Amino acid sequence: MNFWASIVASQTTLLTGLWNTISSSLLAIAISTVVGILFGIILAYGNRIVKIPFRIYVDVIRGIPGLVIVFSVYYFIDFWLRSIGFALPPFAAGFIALSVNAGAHVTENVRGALQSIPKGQIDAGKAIGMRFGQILWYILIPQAVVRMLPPWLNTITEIVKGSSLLALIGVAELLLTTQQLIAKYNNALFYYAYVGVIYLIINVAIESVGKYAEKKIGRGINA
Amino acid sequence: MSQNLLEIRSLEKWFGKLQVFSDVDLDIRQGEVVSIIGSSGSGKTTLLRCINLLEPFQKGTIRLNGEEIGYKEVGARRVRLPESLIARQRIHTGMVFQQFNLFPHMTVLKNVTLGLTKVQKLSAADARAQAEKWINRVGLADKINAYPSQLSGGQQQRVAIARAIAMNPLVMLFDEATSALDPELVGEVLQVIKELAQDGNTMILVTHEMRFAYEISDKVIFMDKGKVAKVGTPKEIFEDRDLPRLQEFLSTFNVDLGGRRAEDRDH
Repeated sequence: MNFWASIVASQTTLLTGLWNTISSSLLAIAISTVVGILFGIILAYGNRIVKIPFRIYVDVIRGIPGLVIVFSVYYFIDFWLRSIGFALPPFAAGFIALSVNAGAHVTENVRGALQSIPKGQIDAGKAIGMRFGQILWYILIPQAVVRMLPPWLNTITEIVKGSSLLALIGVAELLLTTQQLIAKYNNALFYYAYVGVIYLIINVAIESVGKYAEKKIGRGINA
Repeated sequence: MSQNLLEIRSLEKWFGKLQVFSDVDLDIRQGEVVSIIGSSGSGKTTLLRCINLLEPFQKGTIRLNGEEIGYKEVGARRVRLPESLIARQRIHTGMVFQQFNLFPHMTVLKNVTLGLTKVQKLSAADARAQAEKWINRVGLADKINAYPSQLSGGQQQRVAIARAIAMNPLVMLFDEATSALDPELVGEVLQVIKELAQDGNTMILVTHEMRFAYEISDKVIFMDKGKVAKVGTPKEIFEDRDLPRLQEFLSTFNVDLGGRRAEDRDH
């Protein structure tokens, strides 16, 4: 098969890989954001004892390479599920591992954003008789969202790039399908460059949506 | 029922091992304007924050309109009320902060309506009408849709005053409301505070504007080293002959009590 024919033939395979990359990333972004907001609020405003397990989670995960987390989640959950008679699809292990990893980072994004809001904002909310939940919802979170957007976008692009680690547990995402194509057609240089550009396009798209969102929701704060 | 709107008895406050103030007694009647003066670190701001229940205190009682606020006795133990109850008690006090503390992500209108809709549960239309009334009163009708970052410090503080007074509190608390302002912006804020005083609002001001305190107050409290060192009429305080600490404190301000110009600064 000549070079051009092989590229045309490889598009459908790459598309499957792209879909796995995008879907595992989206799941991880959604889960880690929900987890990160909850844990971040706890770390910012929880009492000292309550905070301990969340602090440990964040510090442990952030201190471990992503690949180790992927393998640990995969083998640990797989081992545990097998003992009760289930098999864990690599894809599920993959997005759970990505979520566990990114959740720690988003938690820190959220905690940092909340703690950077001046204490006077809480006082002002209290002074007009608001309860803490109302202060959180109407005063703190809207301001924290603006502040956490840049680091959160950073975390998202890390998730997308980190999803390539899932190749190592057999998830047929972009990198693994690329490697399969290289095994089939050779031309490693071309295919790695090609897949690199695809990652780049995804992340540039995320960044530009993010910049637009920053402008939109930053009114009054990013004056 | 006493005739006092606010009654403070034997109040004592500690930050860890540091005593901020002790033995604070204070009676404030409906419509009275009370200024608290004293050097920094004397506990003035903390006292104000205790009245608004923003700070816990370790001893003593505060009664507002006959009701003890912040704490209750359970058997022999004194316990702080849950935050939800404290939030409800805070509705009766309005507070204006040194740093304004406006909500930066909200317009002027939204800053003022937030408490009206979420705490007082007014309808959007009623809240808006109430907010507009007070925003007009502080002279910012044309800034109603501006964000705080688009306003000068003096304008921001006037919005903060509107936000507090719109809640219709029993007592207004001013915590060094003009200390963070550029000198040329102080006058406009003092003018608004003065008008509120003339309307018969009960107010407590922590201030370094000595001449303003002299003119506007029914009663002045001099705090020194965590105690109420002297309470009296403005005349009794500013013409004091018995208390060297007070004379020393006042001498640092070079107060011109004969002055009538609103834009005068006393430090």
